[in-house]
Amino acid sequence: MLSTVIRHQSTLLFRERRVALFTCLILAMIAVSLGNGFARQVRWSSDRVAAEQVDAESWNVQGVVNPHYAAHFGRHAFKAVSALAMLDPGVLDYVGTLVRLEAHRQHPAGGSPTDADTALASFTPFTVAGALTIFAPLVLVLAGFSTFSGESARQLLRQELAAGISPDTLLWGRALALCGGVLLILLLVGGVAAIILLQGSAPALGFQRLALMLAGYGVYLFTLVAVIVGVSACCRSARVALTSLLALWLVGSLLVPRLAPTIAANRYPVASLPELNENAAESFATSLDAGNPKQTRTERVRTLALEKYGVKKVEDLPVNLSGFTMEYAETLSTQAYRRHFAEVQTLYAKQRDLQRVFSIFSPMIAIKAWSAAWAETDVAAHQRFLSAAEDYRYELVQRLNRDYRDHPPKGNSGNYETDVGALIAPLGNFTLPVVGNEELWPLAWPSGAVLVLWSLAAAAFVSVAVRQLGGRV
Amino acid sequence: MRPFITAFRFEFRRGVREGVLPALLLLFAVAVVYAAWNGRTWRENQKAAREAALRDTAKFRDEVLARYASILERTPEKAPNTGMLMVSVWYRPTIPVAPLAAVTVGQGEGYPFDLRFHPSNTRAIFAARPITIGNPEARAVGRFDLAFVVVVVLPLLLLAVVFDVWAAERESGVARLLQAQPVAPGLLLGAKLLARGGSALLGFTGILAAASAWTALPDTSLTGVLPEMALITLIVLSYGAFWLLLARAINMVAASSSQAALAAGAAWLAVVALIPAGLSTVRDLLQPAPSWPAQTSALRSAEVALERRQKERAAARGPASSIDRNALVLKSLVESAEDQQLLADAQASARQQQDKRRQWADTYRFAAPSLLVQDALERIAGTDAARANAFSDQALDFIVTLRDLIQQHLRDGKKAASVREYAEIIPQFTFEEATVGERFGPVLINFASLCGFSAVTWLVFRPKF
Repeated sequence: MLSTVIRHQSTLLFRERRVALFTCLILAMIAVSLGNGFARQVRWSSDRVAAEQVDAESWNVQGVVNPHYAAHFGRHAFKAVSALAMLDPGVLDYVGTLVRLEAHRQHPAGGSPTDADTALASFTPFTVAGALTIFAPLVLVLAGFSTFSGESARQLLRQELAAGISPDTLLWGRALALCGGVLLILLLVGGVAAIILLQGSAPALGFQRLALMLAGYGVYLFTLVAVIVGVSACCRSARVALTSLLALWLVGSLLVPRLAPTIAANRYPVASLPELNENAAESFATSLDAGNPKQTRTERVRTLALEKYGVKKVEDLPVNLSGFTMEYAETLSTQAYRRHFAEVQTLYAKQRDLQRVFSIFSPMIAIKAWSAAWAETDVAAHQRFLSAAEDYRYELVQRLNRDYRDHPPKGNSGNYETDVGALIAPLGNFTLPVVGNEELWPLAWPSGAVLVLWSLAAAAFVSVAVRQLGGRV
Repeated sequence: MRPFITAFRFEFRRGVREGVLPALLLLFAVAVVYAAWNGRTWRENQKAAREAALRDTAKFRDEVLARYASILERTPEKAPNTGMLMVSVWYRPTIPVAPLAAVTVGQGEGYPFDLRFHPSNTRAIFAARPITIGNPEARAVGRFDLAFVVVVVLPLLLLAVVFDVWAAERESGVARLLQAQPVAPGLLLGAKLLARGGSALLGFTGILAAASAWTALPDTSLTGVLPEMALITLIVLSYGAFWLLLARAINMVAASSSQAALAAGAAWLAVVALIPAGLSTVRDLLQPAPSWPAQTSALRSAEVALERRQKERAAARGPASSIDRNALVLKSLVESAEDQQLLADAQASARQQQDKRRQWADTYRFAAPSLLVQDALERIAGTDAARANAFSDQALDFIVTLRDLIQQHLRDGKKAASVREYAEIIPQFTFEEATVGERFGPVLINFASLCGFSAVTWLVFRPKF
């Protein structure tokens, strides 16, 4: 009986012109988004590889120079983007694509794709994630608002119930017919994405994440189907059902997802970059001045070096004092910067937690977080890139400083120079470590849990609605 | 005219009695107040960021001046000339936050707000990126600012008031009765539309104007932003008028309230989301954003070439002790101008690509009223691309002027008598706002285009009863 109801409902949906029109629109949107996402992916990837090569060559071409000079010449870390970013770019367009790595200072990432744009940048382009989270629910509303509401639906329902079909069978049959459409779209997206993933490296990992992402979308859309069918069952009038569902869509897809990050950002404000730099510089100066405040900084570092190497005169030092100073200062400045950037990360985490509270009002917040976590396009993924770049920077600069320190001046040749290309060769170029699913899981599961809770609540709502259905007709 | 006034009064009173109008006005006021407060917070943060940047530069400048004070105190005869001072400090032109920036964040975070450079080293200008460390999630979903309220929320609320202004009468059969009266139905429809939508629009515009003025008040007087306020009012009224006329058109064809609601919803979705997002996607495909890694590579290659060139110059000069310091600085300034050109050339293709992308967006902004409004509000608020580009152009011009001035001072060999005098000689960058015509010309074009949209809607969908 259930299959008959599903078939019947599917036929009705298929015949509905506006549903067909909007479904075509969604499919076109997904096709364009996939094309655009893939083209961007290819462009970014090739640009990054080329830029890494130029950066390495530029470093090596310096030849024999002073290590500290080379540390200021610096290098760059370019962000590698996961293949699933073509489905869900997350915050990629709003975070930097590269980090400058140099001595004394930890730079944040710069150069985001939306920089130097016009008013058009205020409107985000189509993405598969956007199509599935914002527009697909709208199509579902249009397809499902009159499932049980409205005069004709009520008359049909009377006949069906009189024929002995249970309200449960009717409700789940109609809900599953809607879910069938959703499943088809998800399979289509998954199929195309899987083909693209096959061309890349580590497709197995990509497949697992794609499956998890799509499973999340499946739960999200199932939740919406349940809510839509439930509301339709609760409302006698199709107009009231449609208005209520459109209002829910507006609040859940547009207002709450936009308000949540804004409220979170205002509740836990992050200082601007110049302020952070100012604070970090102050912390660095304070840590330099700690100890004997009567001495100048130069004198203090000199005393420190003499004490460390157990000598009384600078000339007797077995190391280069300038190199020693650079190494010492780099340790302190890195500590200062890391502490201040860690505070920023703590604020981000608080903002994320507050946003999660808002997912009680909108499952879209949860699905966005879930999807971006597996696509590695969330803030946490960006933080991983920044942390890896910072670790590389510190190691690069300290290798140069240690080499400088280990070469005390000989005679009158004050300036020490070395082949920095050869010196840094063992460190290699910057690479972003591949993160396993087990590392992403702790970030993703709270959003997944919220989605499951939403789906359970929606199923419970439908059950309540269906119990009342028989009595209301 | 009398039937019009009677119908207007009746419809207005009905709207007030039903509580729809006051409820929507209250809802709108809440959204506006939150958006204005939000925008004002953002603007205050931007000001704090600029002040911190300027403090950093001033600190370095003070250190240099302290050295000069020490020289003047110990060996006044060895005090360097004023040109030397000018060449030994860093400069940091900064674009001021516009008084109405709280109206929309716009492109306020998409361009660097300061450009730090040294007269003989301008690399930092070319490597400058707009860097914000605020949570990118807020940027990704879009800011809840006044522009969002105008572009997205205002049409929604207007449609909520008028979506079934005639369709409901048609559905209930009242339309036939009204048509039987000796009054032109078009007149009745106009009166109903104005009573419901027009009064709502006026209320919304008033609330918006008051909120916009409030955001500007800490920095300027109300009279200081009167032209901007007038333009905001014009843009909001014309945008609202477009939606009211669109609602009229929908009511001409919709047979029932449900149909009218669906059509109005679809129109809202298309104008506010689908067309702009579609254009944004098409632009990404046709005019992709220049790649920052590629730009960085080009700059890096240019830097390597510069390094080589500088080594060759140093070798040609011979030992530093044999050259007069004044002459050396003069030469280095000329050379840095050549170097700057090399860096500019390295970024020329990316800049061209960016210009083309901006031109494309400027051209196709006429495709949707929502784009026109967003663009107009950004220009009025001073968070637009044109102002940011004007700033970087002025900063580059400042470098040229500064170099000429330094060269002149170096040649003159003029010295100052006190640190204060030295400090006063250091040139300061002042951002010159564009003229009224340059600033508001495009806004008026957008206004005219919005009127055009309304006129087309008015003419194409004439009432047929």
